[in-house]
Amino acid sequence: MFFNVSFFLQTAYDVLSGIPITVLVVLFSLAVAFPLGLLLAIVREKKVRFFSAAASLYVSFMRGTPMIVQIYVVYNSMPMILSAFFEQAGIKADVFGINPLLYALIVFALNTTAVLCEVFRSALSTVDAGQMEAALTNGLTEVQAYRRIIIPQMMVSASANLCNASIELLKNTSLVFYMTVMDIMGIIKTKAALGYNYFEGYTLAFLVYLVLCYMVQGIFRTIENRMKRKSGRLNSSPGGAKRHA
Amino acid sequence: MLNIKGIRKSFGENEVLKELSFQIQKGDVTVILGPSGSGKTTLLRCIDFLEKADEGSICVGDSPEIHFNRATKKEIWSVRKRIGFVFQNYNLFNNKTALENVTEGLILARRIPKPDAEKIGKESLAKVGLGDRYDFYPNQLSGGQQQRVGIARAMAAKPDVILFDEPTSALDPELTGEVLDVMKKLAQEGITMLVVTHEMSFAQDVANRAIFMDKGVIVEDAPPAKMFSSPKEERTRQFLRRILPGDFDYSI
Repeated sequence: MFFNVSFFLQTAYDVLSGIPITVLVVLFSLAVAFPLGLLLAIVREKKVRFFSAAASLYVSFMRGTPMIVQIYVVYNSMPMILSAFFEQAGIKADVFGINPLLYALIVFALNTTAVLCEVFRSALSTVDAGQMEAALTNGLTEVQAYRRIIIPQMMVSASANLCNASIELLKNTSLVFYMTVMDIMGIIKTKAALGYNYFEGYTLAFLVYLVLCYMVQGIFRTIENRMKRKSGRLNSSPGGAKRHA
Repeated sequence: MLNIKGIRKSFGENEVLKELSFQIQKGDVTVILGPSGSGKTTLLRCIDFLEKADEGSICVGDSPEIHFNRATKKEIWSVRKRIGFVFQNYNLFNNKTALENVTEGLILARRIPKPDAEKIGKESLAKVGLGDRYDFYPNQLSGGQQQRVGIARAMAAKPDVILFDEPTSALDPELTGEVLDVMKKLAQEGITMLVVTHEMSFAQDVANRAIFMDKGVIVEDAPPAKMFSSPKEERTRQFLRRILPGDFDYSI
């Protein structure tokens, strides 16, 4: 038979156990990159001496090298560096027994931080500087101004790019198999190799990622609409939110 | 009330304020006039530490003398608490309603409990004629209404002095009137105001003092009626001739 349906269905079931890994890498990376990226963006925007240049160097470094190269570098060099370090420190540790998922999390978190830094930086520039000045003249501290005025507004304009970056991140996680992490792609490739069912396997991968990305889009659309309502941009009728009436 | 001493500010080679000093008494409504580039806006911005002046000091109300170039964060904050600022392009918080725009500083900076802050906020908005617009977001308000929210926000905390940086320059003539009316009302209530403006009618009718600035120095300082009818300095005369229509006819 041209298309092995039973293999397809069986693998589709097996792939379910890989989805948590993919989701974990995505969520962990976003959880680390969101605050860090925001911080780097503000540091760059405010041109804080030294830190601004360091952030900019970091971003170009991360963006200027392919993901796959970063993965290989970390995956191959980290165990050696760590074992040398532990040996020096006199600690006995089985460095080569570390779960490769840990390396995957590190690489993706570092990479996503750089991506989100740029997303937030462009979003920051959509909120005019006058509002910060107004906040300061009203006695707010800079931190209060960012938290209450600037960040809520920049998030609205960042949301489309954040969605983009998250989808890109989700798709890139298919590279973690190069670190022997058994994610969606890892499971499919191994199963397909057994009986040479690559066509079925890759079709499945295609569909799984498509569905996942579609879900990410849905989540972001919901968030975006909620933020817009909250910030008053969607109120078509004057005084839409009658909270004090 | 407000005492500025020897303020200087340069942007690179360009010296915008050249050692300028003046005092304002409580209840004074002072207008600052002058051609563009004369340093009016920079002066206001330096007073509220939005720009860092190179030299000089400030004293507001009963505060101690604070030097512009070596003020601590706390000192800057103490000055800002005593000063209200109204911007040319309003600078309202776009993610906050009119009422929240007014109460934000009261609650966060002055730690006034929310119910009290809302009461003050509603009073301030009512005073500028926006008693029916509490829950409107800035993008649902006209320019004139936005600027009136800006004024309500500046005066809600009862500052010692309110600085106005060309408050009507971004408005069309019709809306300019409603903002000037509000400012006039505040002036009559005895609120101390320092106003950078090109509205000669406001200077004429409301202000009790006019300062003419050019190239970073105060050229002339007199009651408006006196300055407009018989300016002492040639530079003031040239400026007024261009800005007042007709031969010193001030029916504007």
